[in-house]
Amino acid sequence: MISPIWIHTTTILLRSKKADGEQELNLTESQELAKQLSLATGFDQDYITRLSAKTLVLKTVRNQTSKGKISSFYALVCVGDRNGMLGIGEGKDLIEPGTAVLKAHWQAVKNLTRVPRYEDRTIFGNIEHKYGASVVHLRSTPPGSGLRCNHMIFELAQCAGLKDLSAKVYRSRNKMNVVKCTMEALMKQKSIDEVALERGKKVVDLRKVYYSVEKNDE
Amino acid sequence: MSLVKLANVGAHLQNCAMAKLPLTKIPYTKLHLQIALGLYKEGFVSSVKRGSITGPDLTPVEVTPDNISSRRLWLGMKYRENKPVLSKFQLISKPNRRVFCTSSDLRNFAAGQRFRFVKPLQPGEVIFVRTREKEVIDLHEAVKKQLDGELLCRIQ
Repeated sequence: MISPIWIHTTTILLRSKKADGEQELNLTESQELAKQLSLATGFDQDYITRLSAKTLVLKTVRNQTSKGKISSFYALVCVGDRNGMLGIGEGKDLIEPGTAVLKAHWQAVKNLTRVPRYEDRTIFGNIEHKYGASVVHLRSTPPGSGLRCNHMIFELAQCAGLKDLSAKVYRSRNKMNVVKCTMEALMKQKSIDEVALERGKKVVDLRKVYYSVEKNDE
Repeated sequence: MSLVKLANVGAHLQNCAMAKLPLTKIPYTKLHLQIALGLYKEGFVSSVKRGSITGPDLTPVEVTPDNISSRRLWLGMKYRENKPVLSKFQLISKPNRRVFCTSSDLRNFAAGQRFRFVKPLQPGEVIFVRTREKEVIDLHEAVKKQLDGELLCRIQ
């Protein structure tokens, strides 16, 4: 039940059905973008082109000045490698919504951070987080449950590589604030190994010890 | 003893964690001492020292009715990578609503089930139980010994 949102991925830029000349231009444009981003961030150029991006919010915002209302386009994009890295970015442009999305994509890649995941599929325990007027409750679920959550949280979880999650948004459901709240909540997690280091305890995963078959390659 | 004082201790430790204080003092009572030792065993706190209002005692001082009013327990807070180790300290059994569990209830609760209105156990969470002998022990210890108890507080 995803509400229709403008989908934007770097791969679609490459595969767009246009005249050959135009397509080549798009290829070099996105490659230029990836190259500049790789210089700015330090990520591999190939890695940046293969990131999955999602435009979460795209709207017109207005600024009241002496000359009247000046409207511009605002975009909120989330970017992730579907394997534990997630970033969100905001962008604004006066003329074209596409440029705003591009700016947001740029910011998102710059803001890429690691999201701690339990068994690479869900979060650690339950998290309750408040950002402004948005309150987000995130719950870890057993394998196979899927992403049962708000459509914004769904997109974030998909990009991050979370496969099982249950969430509920209370109070304000403003898309921008929900996204920011969820990002903060996901970063707030402490992995079990981190907790063990903090407290000076040893952690043993009983399932791995008793039920897994690990091959020792020597 | 007094859950009101324990609630105050919980709030104080949370505040100290947010303020990133290295040492804090709490009132010196039997329950506080038991909880403090429990925290030390679990690794939430780096040190537990008896002391006075001004600071922990360098040499052991005998507690007498003369100096009892000035006695405090000094706890060393722990931090790692800009985050406190003891970030949450909440009461479960409160003065206006006590929470008691049988041994089978404790077993299910330790397994991850919700106990009435008490939210389920989280990964890395520690719950202190006060048994019928007024002994404060960890939830898992109580389950092992098959004891009933009062769910005092949950610490993360």
